[in-house]
Amino acid sequence: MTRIKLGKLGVVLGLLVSCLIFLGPFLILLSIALQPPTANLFTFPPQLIPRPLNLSIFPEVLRVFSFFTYVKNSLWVSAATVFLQAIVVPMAGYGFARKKFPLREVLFLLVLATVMIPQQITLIPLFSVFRRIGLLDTHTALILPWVVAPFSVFIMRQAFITLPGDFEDAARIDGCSEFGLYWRIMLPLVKPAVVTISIFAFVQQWNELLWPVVLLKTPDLYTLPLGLTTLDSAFYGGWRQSAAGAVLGIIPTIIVFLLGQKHFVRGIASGGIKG
Amino acid sequence: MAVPKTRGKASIRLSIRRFVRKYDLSGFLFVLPALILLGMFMFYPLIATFYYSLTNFNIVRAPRYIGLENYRVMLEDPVFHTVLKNTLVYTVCVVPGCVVLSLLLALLVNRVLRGIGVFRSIIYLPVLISMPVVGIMWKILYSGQGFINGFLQWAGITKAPLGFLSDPDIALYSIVFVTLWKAAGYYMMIYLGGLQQIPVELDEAAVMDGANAFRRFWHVTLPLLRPSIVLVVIISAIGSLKVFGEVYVMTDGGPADSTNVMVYYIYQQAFRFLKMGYASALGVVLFLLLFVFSLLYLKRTEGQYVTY
Repeated sequence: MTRIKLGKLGVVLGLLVSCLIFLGPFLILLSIALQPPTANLFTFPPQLIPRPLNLSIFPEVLRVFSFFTYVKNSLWVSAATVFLQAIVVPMAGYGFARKKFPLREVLFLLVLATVMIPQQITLIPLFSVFRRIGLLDTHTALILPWVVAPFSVFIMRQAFITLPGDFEDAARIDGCSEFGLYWRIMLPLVKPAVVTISIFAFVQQWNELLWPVVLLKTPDLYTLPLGLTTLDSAFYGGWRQSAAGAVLGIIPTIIVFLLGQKHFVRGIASGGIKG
Repeated sequence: MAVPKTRGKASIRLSIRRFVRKYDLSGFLFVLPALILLGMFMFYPLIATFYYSLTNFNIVRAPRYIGLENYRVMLEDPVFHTVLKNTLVYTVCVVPGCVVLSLLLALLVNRVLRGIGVFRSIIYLPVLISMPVVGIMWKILYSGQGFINGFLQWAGITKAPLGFLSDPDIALYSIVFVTLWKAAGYYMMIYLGGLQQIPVELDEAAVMDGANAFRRFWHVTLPLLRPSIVLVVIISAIGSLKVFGEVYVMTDGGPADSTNVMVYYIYQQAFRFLKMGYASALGVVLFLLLFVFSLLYLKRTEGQYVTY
């Protein structure tokens, strides 16, 4: 009996410790952001709840840090990527899963093989191409290269493969066109998979740092992650202001996560979503 | 002469029609847009990188072929040696860390308990937070009088504050720790997926046979979890060899290149010093470093679609 109790105690203790480790940094960040200007930020043990709460830090930060512009840019870039992907990738998955055409297997292997190409080594040629066609420092260049994620093609192919064949036969007998068959009958049947790949693409674009760093020069075009990297220099390393900016930067992620929690879990289970 | 010609045309047309009917080329049209995009944004850049690595490309002037010169320079470049060493040390620290820590976390939260979902979400939260936020957070925690130094001195473990990000001897390990903190939840979810596929009956049978908790874990759970462990090793190794964000937001590769890693060095050479040719050669080296792990990942993905 005591051993079982001890085990339970261990589990509770473990949960509390991991909670502290993973949530603690967020709490400290929030606490630092809300400290009054005169407070000593670095006492130990820290004063977690600042007195008085300095909420005026947010208007102060927002005057210099164009948070809403960055959020708008990030939303646009992520949404456009998701939209284009939702058109192109399920179509490809459908073609590879339900159609017969010459070289199908070879082409699919080729798509799978692109999983092996690290995005990081494609940057120099992409930069050079976009420079030549005058698209440096534009959102278009930020969106286009990541519309087709090879792993998403794979997921869509899986989704279409598992559907029974009766639908297609019935629709063809009724005289449905090949595209109509795909668009009106097959695509709605794999909606969950489309949601999964959309979340992959959204999170990926929302958090992408390297490509915007390389590509964007105009501050008005910055995405949120890129904007957040300017906090340190904008406030000359002022901890409270940087922390407040970071707190603002977390808010959209939390909202999206709470809205789509169920889908997130499914997406992770299939081994794809990574920050 | 005219008659066989038209007959020829007709027969060609017929065989095209037969071909179309046999293979239903509309399938090809379905995959074409994706193939074009992948070709433009994946295959072309890959090939171009290999080509640029043999040139003195610097974005301003057209690339000129210089053979293996970039690779020769690389062999003699002391910074490259440091960068390569850092990348490997980082990977060797992060991969086992992810494998073990995330497994422990997964075992911890893999139980039916009220509110356990909240704990899973908390551990997963850092995965979704963008790197610049994580950077600001940990720069504050790591700073001279920051929370961690405060704690260490309060507990009497250290006398003077440690320069977590400013001491060349420990900066890389400070970054390893942040990576583990940020990624643990991701790998935990992979393990949870694996754990939930293990039939409960096996564990129950082991209990009947009188096996204690540790033996049940070692002889039942762990062997059945092998696919998940392999997946975690592959993904974390690929991720570690490609690390950029942590370095960019926290140390800029410093102090004295002690946290400079492959992707950061490529970024520096290509976009700060405009040595695109040399950076491409570094990219080829990165590609080769990743190759084995990518191949394993590809094989696994392929295997998945056969078995499903």
